[in-house]
Amino acid sequence: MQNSSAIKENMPDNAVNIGNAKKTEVFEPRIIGFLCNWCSYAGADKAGAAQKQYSPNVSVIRVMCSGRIDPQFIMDAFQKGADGVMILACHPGDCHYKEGNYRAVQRHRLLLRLLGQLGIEGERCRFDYVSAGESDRFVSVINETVEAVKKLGPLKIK
Amino acid sequence: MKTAVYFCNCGTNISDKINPEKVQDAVKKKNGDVIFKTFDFLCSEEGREFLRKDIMDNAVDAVVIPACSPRDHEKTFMNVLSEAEVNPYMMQMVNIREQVAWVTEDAEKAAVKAVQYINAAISRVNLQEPLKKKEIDVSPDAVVVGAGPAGLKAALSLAEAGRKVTVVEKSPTIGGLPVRYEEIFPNMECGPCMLEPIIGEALHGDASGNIEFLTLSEIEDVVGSYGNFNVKIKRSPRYVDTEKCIGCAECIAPCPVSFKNPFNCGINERKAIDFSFAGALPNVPYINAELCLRFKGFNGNENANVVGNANGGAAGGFCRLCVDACPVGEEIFKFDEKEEIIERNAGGIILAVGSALYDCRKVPSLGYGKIPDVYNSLEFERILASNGPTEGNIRTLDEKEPRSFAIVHCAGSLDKNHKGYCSGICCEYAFKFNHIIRNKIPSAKIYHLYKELVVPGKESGSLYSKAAEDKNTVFIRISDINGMAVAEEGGKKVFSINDACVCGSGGGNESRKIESADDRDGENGGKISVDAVILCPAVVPARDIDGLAGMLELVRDRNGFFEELHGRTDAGRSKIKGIYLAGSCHSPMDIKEAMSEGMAAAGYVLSGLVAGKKLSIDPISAVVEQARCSGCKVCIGVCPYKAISFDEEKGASFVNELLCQGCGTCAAACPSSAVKANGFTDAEIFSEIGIMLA
Amino acid sequence: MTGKPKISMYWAASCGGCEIALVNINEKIMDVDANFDFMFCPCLLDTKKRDIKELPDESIFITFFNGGIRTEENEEMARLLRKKSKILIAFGSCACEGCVPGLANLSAKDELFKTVYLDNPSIDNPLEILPVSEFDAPEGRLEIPRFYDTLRTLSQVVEVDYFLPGCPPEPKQIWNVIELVISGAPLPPKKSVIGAGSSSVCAECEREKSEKKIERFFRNYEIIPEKEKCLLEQGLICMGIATRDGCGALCPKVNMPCTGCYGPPEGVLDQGAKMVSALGSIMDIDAIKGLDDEKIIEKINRTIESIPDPSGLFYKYSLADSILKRRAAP
Repeated sequence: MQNSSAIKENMPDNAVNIGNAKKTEVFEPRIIGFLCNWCSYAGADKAGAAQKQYSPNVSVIRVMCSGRIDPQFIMDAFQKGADGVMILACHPGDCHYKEGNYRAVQRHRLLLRLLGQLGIEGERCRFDYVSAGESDRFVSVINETVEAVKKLGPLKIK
Repeated sequence: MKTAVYFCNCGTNISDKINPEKVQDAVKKKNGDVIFKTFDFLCSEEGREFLRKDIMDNAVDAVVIPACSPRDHEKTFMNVLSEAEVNPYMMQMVNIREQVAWVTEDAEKAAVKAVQYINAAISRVNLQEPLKKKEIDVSPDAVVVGAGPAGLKAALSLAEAGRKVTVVEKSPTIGGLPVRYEEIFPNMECGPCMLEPIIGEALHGDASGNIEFLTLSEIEDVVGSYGNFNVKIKRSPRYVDTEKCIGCAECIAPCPVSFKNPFNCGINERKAIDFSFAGALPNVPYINAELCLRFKGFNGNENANVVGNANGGAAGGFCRLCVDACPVGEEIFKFDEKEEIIERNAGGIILAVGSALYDCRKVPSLGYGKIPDVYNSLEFERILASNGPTEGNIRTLDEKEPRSFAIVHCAGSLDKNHKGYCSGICCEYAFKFNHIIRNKIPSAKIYHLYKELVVPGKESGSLYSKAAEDKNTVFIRISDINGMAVAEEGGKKVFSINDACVCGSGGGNESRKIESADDRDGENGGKISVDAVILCPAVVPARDIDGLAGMLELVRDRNGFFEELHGRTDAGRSKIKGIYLAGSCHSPMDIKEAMSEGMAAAGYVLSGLVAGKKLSIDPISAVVEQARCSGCKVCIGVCPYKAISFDEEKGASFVNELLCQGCGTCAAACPSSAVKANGFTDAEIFSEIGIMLA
Repeated sequence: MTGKPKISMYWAASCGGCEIALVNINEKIMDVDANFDFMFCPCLLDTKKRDIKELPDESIFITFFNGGIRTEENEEMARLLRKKSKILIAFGSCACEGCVPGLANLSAKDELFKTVYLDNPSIDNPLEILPVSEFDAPEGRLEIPRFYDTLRTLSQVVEVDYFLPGCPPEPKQIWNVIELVISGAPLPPKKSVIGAGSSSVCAECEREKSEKKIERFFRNYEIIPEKEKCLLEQGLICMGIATRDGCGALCPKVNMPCTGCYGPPEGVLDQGAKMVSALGSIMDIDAIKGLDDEKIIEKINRTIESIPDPSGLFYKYSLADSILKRRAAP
């Protein structure tokens, strides 16, 4: 608290605004990642335990199962300024709730068709499988997605 | 609502990377009146005490804990909230250790991300609702369906723990298939003798008072759910009093009606009143009402064409040859016994209904059902059994001792046109057959025709080695069972084997004797002729699981077996809570595994259903807002736990919170947003998204 | 001038069907006339904009505003009528959620002009003249209202008191609303949807529904559906599951799948996203169980191939009021 003036200098005005890139800066995409509790969130924890460094651009929202992810959430994320969305689920056959990931992948395939018509590239909405043990895979899926969205540039939703 | 953020430094694990003061400043700037405190180890005893006291002192309503992963300490802090008299569901952990501090190179970016996460959590926790665990009474008792090894083991284990168990067995006999086997792999024990102690204990032991056996019985209907099932059981009449009958068998010989005995696969005959086979337990014969003359109104002393006195009563009106032969007396016969519906309450149901063999007629080239002396393994077990139709003597149908045998492994297994899997037990009993045949007919030539050899387990090697080292035993590896055909030529069963289907000799495995089809003595190229053929078919689901699956709404896997909750970690549980699976009804297995599974199923009941202990229901579950439910039924099939049913009267779905596991798939699926996922509501998630991106 | 409360009806970007729906209340139109001074309706009456401008604020008791906000003029009239009306009702699907004109939000303005004024097979425009909002003609400067890039709904432009959905709203529902106002009974809370239910069309649909498991989708012309059974269960994409009730399930009643004109049910923000979610939930998962990752995608893609235009189907009426509202800029 005594350092508050120094802090203010270091913090951007809107502290939560990671990717609000200034014109001179490189584009830092903002990505929302929906992770299922039992596999992909655990995989993220495992990457943490191993202290594997990865891009900070993905903000994680934990759900119990990828089956909980309503496409409305994804639309909402894009509308509120996300440049990308990730859905990470248990591998087929490994879902803690048995079938949630199958529903999630089915919805995702159909959603991609809709997003395409709405001018949102498939690379901005990635679905993938990460198990609790796959910390390396988690890191590479995150980094790949961030890179892919960086290449596409900011999503322009009016 | 007073919200407090308790930032855990985790020693220096978090604070080394993320400056707590910086975070505090940014969080307070965004959420003015929020309490923000830091502590070094919140999960420690002092940390938890600090947390509890601070929550109480400040009358905090909702708590945000930026710390480690919720997968580590969510439960810990929920307990502290309870101690502080705050609803434990009014908390949100923020994973700034595993998912921010430890993985973000740049300290400033880490701090920014932590702030973003904490702000989102504050917004979310303010929308969270105090949820309450519900508690319900449960029945600690169980119904076990099937009295084979798995069912018996489960029943006995539960009974010994003081639980009441009802065992429902559709046949008149308990013990399942192994009691029909003379000897059992890998150690050649006698089947009935091996099971005798368990059956004896179940029927007459200290705990037998807790077990009720209902033979000739089947499940008629099940209502209710985990902890409180009501099971309706249909019991068909046996017509013989199991309590009073002494099992002396005097009644059997006088009975004038014979028919093919299904327990010996129809190889011999039995009487209308008879035991299933010698030594069957309970040691009481039963009457087949479809065949017994008495039920047809015939008098057994007369010509069967003569219709007896339909009014009965007087001796001589109906056949009573068995009654007259009985040394105990007329009272043990209950000809007026009727089919009966018996109801039992149970907390759990254990399904141990076993399996069946693949119908070898579906592989027509093998000649099963057309060519004499082509047996399936179960028939051959009965032929080998001393209480079987041939009293253990191996004879062809024309009463000759066979000199040569072909044992066909993988009959319908590992074959995408039939069953794609390996049943895992057939090779083992095939080598058992090899051993028994060799003992009974030392000079017999035995061919093993197989696709793959599978003899797992520490004890299986010796029967295999015996066969492999035996001069008169020949191994022929076939790549495709459809490439060979069996025909009858002059009393011999002649296998024509397409050369292309024979895997090359040697095969890289020197311990096996692998010969190519044209490299054998006494046969012409590509042909072997034998006196008897034994088929080892794939193990398949028993036919009666159709009815059970439908009645209990159980999911079946693509091979038709009951599908497990989880194939590895929860193979003993079905997809319906409180219905457990034991033995080969969910996967082919041997007796050892079936016994262990029976024990495991009992374990589920013992640990989950304890008398006096209430069942606590996790409130992280789905709830249907019935006024807005349109009755479209999209949600019903989505639930992997069958927790959603439809209330026809209200025209709306409802969730059985006992069965709901809280995945939220139905909430996402509901096209009118009428399903609320407690703990993960639309509002909570939308607010997280919004603040994360603000 | 009469002492009766004034009622007006205006059309913005719409087809005129809403006016017909109003007239379809049949002889009850006499009751409207008996109770209200029907004073402004460009489709039926000759009142001018300047007449409205001259009225004191809030002097029109009710305005039924149909149509979306496509042009500058639409917006101007929306603002004017808001100011002059006590109760402004978004009347019909266009005003409520954009309706079919809102589907133009899948394209940019220049693409729309190109289609309408250049590529349209019935257009002869060799000079490739496109509308401009200002033009200096020899006689002086001409101005026509600007065409916006995005079609907005009424409530995205002005505050709306009530929403009366439907394409068009059912006459029975229109009458219910008028009757309620005439009766003097307390009106529902502001911003509510009136003249409709809060659940979905399935609640009114009498077809037999059961657990849903769909192996493939059909387009309407491909099958003749069974009469009693839920259309969706037969593979026809019936929007009824994600569409507000109130119409009486008219389309399913005559063997046609619901196309979604009453907009999303209460509590649903995005009709299209919910359709995606629901259809993704009821496509037969047994077909993908046990397959490897790529085969799963192949199989699902094959199943959804028979939906050639998801946004046209799922957002036929509600794109402009969906979460994203329009196509992203390239």
